[in-house]
Amino acid sequence: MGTRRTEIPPGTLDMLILKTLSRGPAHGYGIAEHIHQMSEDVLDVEEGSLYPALQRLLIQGWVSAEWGQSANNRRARFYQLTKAGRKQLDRELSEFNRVIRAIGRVIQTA
Amino acid sequence: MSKLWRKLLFVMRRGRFERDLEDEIRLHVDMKTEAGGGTDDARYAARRQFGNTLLLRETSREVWGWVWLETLLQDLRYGARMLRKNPGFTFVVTATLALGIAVNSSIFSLISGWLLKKPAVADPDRAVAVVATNPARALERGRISAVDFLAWREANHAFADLAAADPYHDFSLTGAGEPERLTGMRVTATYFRVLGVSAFLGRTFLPGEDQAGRDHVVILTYGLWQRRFASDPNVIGRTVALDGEEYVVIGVMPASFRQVAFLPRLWTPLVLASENPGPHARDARDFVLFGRLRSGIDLQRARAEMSTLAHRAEQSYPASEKGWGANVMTLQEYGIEEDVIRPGLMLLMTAVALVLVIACANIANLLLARAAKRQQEIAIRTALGAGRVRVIRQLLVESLLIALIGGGCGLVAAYWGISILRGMLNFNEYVGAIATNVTLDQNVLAFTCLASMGAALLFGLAPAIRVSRTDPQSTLRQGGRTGDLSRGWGRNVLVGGEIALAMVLVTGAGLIIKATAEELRADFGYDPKQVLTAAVSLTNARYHEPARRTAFFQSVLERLQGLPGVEAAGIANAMPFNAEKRTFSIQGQPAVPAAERPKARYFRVSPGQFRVLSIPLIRGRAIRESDNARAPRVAIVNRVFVERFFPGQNPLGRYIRIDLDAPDWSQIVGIVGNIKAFFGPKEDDAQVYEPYLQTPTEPEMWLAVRAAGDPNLMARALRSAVWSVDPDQPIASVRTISRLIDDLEGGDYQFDALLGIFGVMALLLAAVGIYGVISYSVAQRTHEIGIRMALGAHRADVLRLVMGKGMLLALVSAAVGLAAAAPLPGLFAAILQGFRVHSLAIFLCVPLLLLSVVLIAIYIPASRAARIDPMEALRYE
Repeated sequence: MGTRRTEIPPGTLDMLILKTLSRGPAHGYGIAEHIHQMSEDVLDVEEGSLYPALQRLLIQGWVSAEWGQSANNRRARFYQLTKAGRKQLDRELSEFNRVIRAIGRVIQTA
Repeated sequence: MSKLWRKLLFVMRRGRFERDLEDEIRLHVDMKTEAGGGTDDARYAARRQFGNTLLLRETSREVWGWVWLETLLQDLRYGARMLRKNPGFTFVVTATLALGIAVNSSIFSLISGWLLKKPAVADPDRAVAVVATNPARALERGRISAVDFLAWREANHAFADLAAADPYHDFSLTGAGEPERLTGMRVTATYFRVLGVSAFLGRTFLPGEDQAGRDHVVILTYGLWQRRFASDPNVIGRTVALDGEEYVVIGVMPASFRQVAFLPRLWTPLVLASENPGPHARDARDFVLFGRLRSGIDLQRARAEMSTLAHRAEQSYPASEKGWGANVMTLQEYGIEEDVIRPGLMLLMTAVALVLVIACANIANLLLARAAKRQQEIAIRTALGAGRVRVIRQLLVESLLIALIGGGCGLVAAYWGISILRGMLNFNEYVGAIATNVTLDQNVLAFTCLASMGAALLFGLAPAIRVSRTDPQSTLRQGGRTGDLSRGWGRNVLVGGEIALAMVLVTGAGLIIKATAEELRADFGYDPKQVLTAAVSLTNARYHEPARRTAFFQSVLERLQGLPGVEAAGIANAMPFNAEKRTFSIQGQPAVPAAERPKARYFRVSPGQFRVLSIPLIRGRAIRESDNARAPRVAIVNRVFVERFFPGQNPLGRYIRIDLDAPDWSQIVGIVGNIKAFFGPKEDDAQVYEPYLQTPTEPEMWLAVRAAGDPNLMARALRSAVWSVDPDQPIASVRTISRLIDDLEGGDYQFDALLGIFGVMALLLAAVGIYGVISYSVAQRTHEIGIRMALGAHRADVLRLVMGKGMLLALVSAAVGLAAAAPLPGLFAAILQGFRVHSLAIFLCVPLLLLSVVLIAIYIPASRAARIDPMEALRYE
């Protein structure tokens, strides 16, 4: 646990959650771990932001939640991407890529 | 599933949400712990990293956007707990508010029922009445002649249809039970169509049923059908005898159909074509016209057209139509004489509004006192980070809660109050009929809600703002015993205002009650007690000749005079309460056009009438039996007549001529006292009496007898005296004059009673208010008073100290109230017809009354202060 925790850039947490869930249903801890590992320990999801973010996505109807069994046979709440969520992920990804490319261009030409 | 739906679902499953989140968090921590090796250290680290789970839960909840509701619920729960914890406070506060709301809602039900409720006809805004106006006679809602009706019905473009009605036509109903005199309304066949109402049973009139030969059909009111025909559903098609002629019952109207201006028992067709063909047809203004506005025509245009038509008639027939115009008003306006009712209602509403304001001041006072006690609590909450807005909101929510409970109780009490009001409003039949409109309707409901909320703002805002200014530091340092609120400047202002308002209200009520009392004490000029009157209308064809009428009345008069128990009997064309004014000329004075001639109230009487009414003869002689058609014409005038038209002269022997069908000069032979011609504080008017035998007898005359005993017991004898002359002659309005005065004046008594009650309420509330403030300050100063007494102050000193402060406050506010009440007599005179009062006594007595009540209210807590035991007071921390 000695690694340096890096805050997730504002506005991208929802996208990261949706992207994670596009691989299949996951519980809160799973989502956080997945983001942490995939980012090669750079990005650390704060629980204090994760759960409110999940509520936000529930309200929007982008994810749905269901209780189920975790890998080690524990009762866990699994979040799943909805159809609307998949569309939203596509929208956010293309928007994000557009912004990243733009930023890249600015940095390279500078 | 929409977003809103999901949010609502969240509210309903809040409990589950909390559990879910908790489970999730636990699982999360567990998994993290396992990932970290499962040791206690790992768990501790996981927990630490997780941070404040409470905060997390709160932010998760906030996402759903229901925080405001949560806070509101919290505030409500908290407020309810505060109210529950102080049952005494809660009771006093809600009862005070309930009282204020109840009186307001009850009085508002009168406004709703009379001024806001539309008549029960189709599309009431387009149903209108067409009335005659004559500014010279101060006539605003006169009736219209058949000639004008027939002409206007053809000529107008404003109305889809016009109907004429003869609103008071008496019928005698015979057969099937006792003969009965009923007021009927004769209407053209268009009448029910114009109003757009249909029958409850059977049908209304068909076109053409107002033609002679087809007109023997009758429609009953619901009430008559119930009473006289035992609600027989087979009544349709039955025959009844009206004035001895057969009429077929064709319909029964629903109970809801009521035109408040008239109370007919039945309707028959009005046949106009053959009626009043004579030369005086234009003067026979007998009919009320009802119309339905054509679509696209508004009231203004209808008015303009009718006044053009009236103007045209005025130019074509100046002899009869000069000065006459026409106006159009909605049925609603016509039914309720708003200009008469509105000022009274507005006064009552003002009175109850003042009561409510005083009640609110009391509540605000209690809240302020309690707020002072709660300063510490508020200070702690502020110190812990509660924002000012949040504190104000919390206090306002508490006020709203009080308003909700108080308003709810008030509504229940108003339901009761309204039924009391309706019970009061039955002093005559007309008022009884319009009282049925007064109910706890949706207007009253809406008003109650608004009034309660308004009251909550009124009594809640000031204490809330004041409390929220609390400085937590100084309050907490002071240990909460004497914060800056306990100085109570705000409470003194509130109580002072209450006393001043109560002063205004009690003075106003006193002035109006005194005016009525003065009116009652005022001399009528005649003795209305022991007099029974009855109206006899010789409408039957056999009385077409005036000589036959004279013979009839002479015979009746003889029989009446012979009745045991009758001291005097008389006949007159009019009684003091319904006599009309006529223009006249005085011989020897330059002739003036009819419109500019002076007027006098005119009576045609038999000699006995002066004895019946006990009108004193001042000079000359009264009317004698010998003053008949063959004798020279004579007249008796009253004292005002002499003062006005013969100042400083002897009128006896002079000649006057009343402008009526018989243009002869009459010699003035006597002077009698003034009588109050119409009840009410009006100027005494000039009055003229002529012998009824010297002019052709009119078909409608009044009989009057002065009874030795109870005049009501004479009713039967009077009836049989008439029937012994003509057994088929109906008799109407058999009533004592005293009863009639009660009918006319009943409204004043009730109005005064209500104002009196509201005045007393205001007074008591103000007294309770000052009592509360003084008690509170005594309680606050127990310690100080204890020290003073320990240092040698006597009980009298303490009494003086406490009472002095209270009386100073009371005196200053009473003076302010008195100044505010000073313009009331003038104001009342401006808005209430004929209001006149000697106000000095009221302006002396009311302050005395108010100050003595206040004195008692102050004395009670002051004497308690004086009884304080210094030892105990000093121990009391």
